[in-house]
Amino acid sequence: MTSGSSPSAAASLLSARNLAVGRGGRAVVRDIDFDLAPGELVGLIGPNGAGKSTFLATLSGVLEPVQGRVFLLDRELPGYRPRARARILTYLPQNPGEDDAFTVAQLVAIGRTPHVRPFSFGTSRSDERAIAVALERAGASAWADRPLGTLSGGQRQRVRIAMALAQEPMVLLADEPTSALDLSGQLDLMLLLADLAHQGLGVLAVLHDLNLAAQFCTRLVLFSDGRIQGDGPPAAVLSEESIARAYGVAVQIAHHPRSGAPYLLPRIALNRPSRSSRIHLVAGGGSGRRLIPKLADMGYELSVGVLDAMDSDQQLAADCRVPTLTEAPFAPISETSVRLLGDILETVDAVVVAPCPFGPGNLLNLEAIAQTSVPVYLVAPPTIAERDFSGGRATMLYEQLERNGARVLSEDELLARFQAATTRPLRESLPDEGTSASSAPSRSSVEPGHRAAERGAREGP
Amino acid sequence: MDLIDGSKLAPAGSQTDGGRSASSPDRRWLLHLVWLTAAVILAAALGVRYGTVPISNRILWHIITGQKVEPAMRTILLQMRLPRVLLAIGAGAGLAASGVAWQGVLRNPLADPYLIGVSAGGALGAGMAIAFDLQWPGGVSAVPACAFAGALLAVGVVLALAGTRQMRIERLILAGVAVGAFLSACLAVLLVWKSNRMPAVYFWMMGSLAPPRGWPDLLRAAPYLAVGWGVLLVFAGPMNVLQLGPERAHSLGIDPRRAQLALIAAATLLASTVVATCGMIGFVGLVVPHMARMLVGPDLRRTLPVATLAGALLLILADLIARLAGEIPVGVVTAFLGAPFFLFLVLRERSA
Repeated sequence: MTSGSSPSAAASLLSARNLAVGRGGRAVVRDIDFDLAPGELVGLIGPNGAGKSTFLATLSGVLEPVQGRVFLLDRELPGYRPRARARILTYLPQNPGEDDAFTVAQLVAIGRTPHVRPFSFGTSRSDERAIAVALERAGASAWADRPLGTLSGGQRQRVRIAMALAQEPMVLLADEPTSALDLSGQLDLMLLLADLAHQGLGVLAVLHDLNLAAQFCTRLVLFSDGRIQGDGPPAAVLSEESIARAYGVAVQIAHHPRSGAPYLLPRIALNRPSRSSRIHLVAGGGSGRRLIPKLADMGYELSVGVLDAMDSDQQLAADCRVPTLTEAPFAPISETSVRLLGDILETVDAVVVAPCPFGPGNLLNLEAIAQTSVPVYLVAPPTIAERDFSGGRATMLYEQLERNGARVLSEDELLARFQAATTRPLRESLPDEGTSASSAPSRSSVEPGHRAAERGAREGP
Repeated sequence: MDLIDGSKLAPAGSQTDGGRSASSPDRRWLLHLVWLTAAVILAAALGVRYGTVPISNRILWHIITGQKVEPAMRTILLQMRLPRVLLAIGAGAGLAASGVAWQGVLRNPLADPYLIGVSAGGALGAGMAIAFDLQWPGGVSAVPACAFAGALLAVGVVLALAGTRQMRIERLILAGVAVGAFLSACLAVLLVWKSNRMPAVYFWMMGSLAPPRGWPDLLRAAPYLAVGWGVLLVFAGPMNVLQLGPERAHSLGIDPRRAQLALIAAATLLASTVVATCGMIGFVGLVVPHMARMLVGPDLRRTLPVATLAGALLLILADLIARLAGEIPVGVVTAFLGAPFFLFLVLRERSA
């Protein structure tokens, strides 16, 4: 073997050298040099159409390389007989579409195909054992006798993995194994894949959820624009620049407080040209359950945050398609989020603070608002005293905001006012609060103020 | 999580239960084979016994034991009814086995042996032979040969259009539909032109096992049926894997293209042979595989033999009904039986 052109057998289970992949002879991705070692869980990421699935199909031998070579252990892939290859490498395509009537045990038994004599019926004792072990490793033993049709998506996916494990492979290739699963199913499956890698398998999976990939994978490979754009530990591959280049999306990279894995937060609502008035809402803990949908329905360009990623208001905002600034679950607000909040506050016409509890975790929201000159509306009752869990600091910030002209309104009053303001564009119907009562003929019909006028008013005296 | 699921859905000791019930489907499968075999033998006996000419049990017994009977009775039994029942067995088994293969290869429950051109090609071939009164030297009708050639040609064209280098199921089905429509149009033109032959062609298309078919036709068809069925049996394992999709089959060490081509060739041979011999007998190839699947589950290695027996049984009985109802075409009977059952399957599917 010439040095450099073929991998050393010990280090690598599966490798590609100078590989170009594509369908119908046209390369989608080229110059691929890739190695998969035992114990690795590698996440293959990249935008749709980047060639991830094509690459996987080529590594499995379903597709022929457009150019370059694939090695499995010490031999080139085409040098294997199909059955011999299937005892080393298994590939789970995206939509296998098994018959629902198969029982789990029957389906997993099909995984023994490369081990049983061709054209033979039934299963031997050693096959039975291998099937039991595969079910056990995939955590699917409890369902062995159930028809596939009675299982959930996550359980089905486990059964597919069990079937793949019945092949007793060293390499597992999986195309989007988590894409049809709910949150618990996704976590469950990623844990299983990580566990299999831990047991010595080389696992390569196409993943679309970058946060999931970053959490569980030992290594990420980023495909875009027909090349490998990054290959390494998640923290090295996921950067604001690399994501912007590959996906054309601006994100903020945070780090999970406990695992330290990178964590992506999309930057939305920033730098978006706006025709309607912008409102930023500070909420949390369900305090936004009326305000978020109502304000969004009125046609305001609403943003919410900074919220805990698992807050119910976060879910509600997502349902209403309202952009949110989120923080990793149960983590205090980070510097980056504060910076982003500051960016947002510079562009909004008004800030509304919902009657949410304030504690050390979200106090930074109030501090950020106190430093801006945007008109602020504080929703009460309940009064701040009833929901101040920050040892009085939130109450102090409320007092400071009120001194600076913030108005305290009930939820109904606030909604009525913002509803009234929608009849005219917010910027033109400026009530010019805080300057003089005479210039604003109807103080009672206060509408969210115009920031420029507001500034002028404050800078005046 | 396993604990929760396990306790909810499988009572304690599910492991030992699993061990036992894993073997019980095997036993159930063999049981199905046994009773179906018995039923086929019984039905065959009925098929020989009953018909327009009544034959008593005594005469039947005399013939079986080789005693002297009236020559006319002997002729009816051995030269007409026996080959007819055997042909029903061969045709029913062939159509059902072919249907199993198609549903496995195309991964489509609506697939049947006629889907990719066998029926349209066979009909045009037979239609031409009937319209132009084609005969072999010696006066033997050329209808079976022409139907056989037409069916194989049509499938060949469909495969060529769909491309066999990388088998794409959707393309195969669409090409089958297109070629079928074209050939049907050709047949229509032919029938308009030779309208006096229309009833004969139409009658052929409805399918029949009735005379003049006899031993020569049966013996001519038998080797093709045997080869086709043998290939299906040999490829039953790959066929079973193939229903998970060609990519998954590949990763399980099966060459999907080779298996698909072998299965398609065998299924086409079976269906074409039956069409050439008996005309177009519908619904057997569509419905019987479903019935077999309901009995023994989706493992095609089990479905194939069960469907084979069930197909034979169904066609013997359908032919018996056709005979007793005054020689109506057997294809009409299978449609009468098959269409409601198929509807039942569809509705059951929807309510599930």
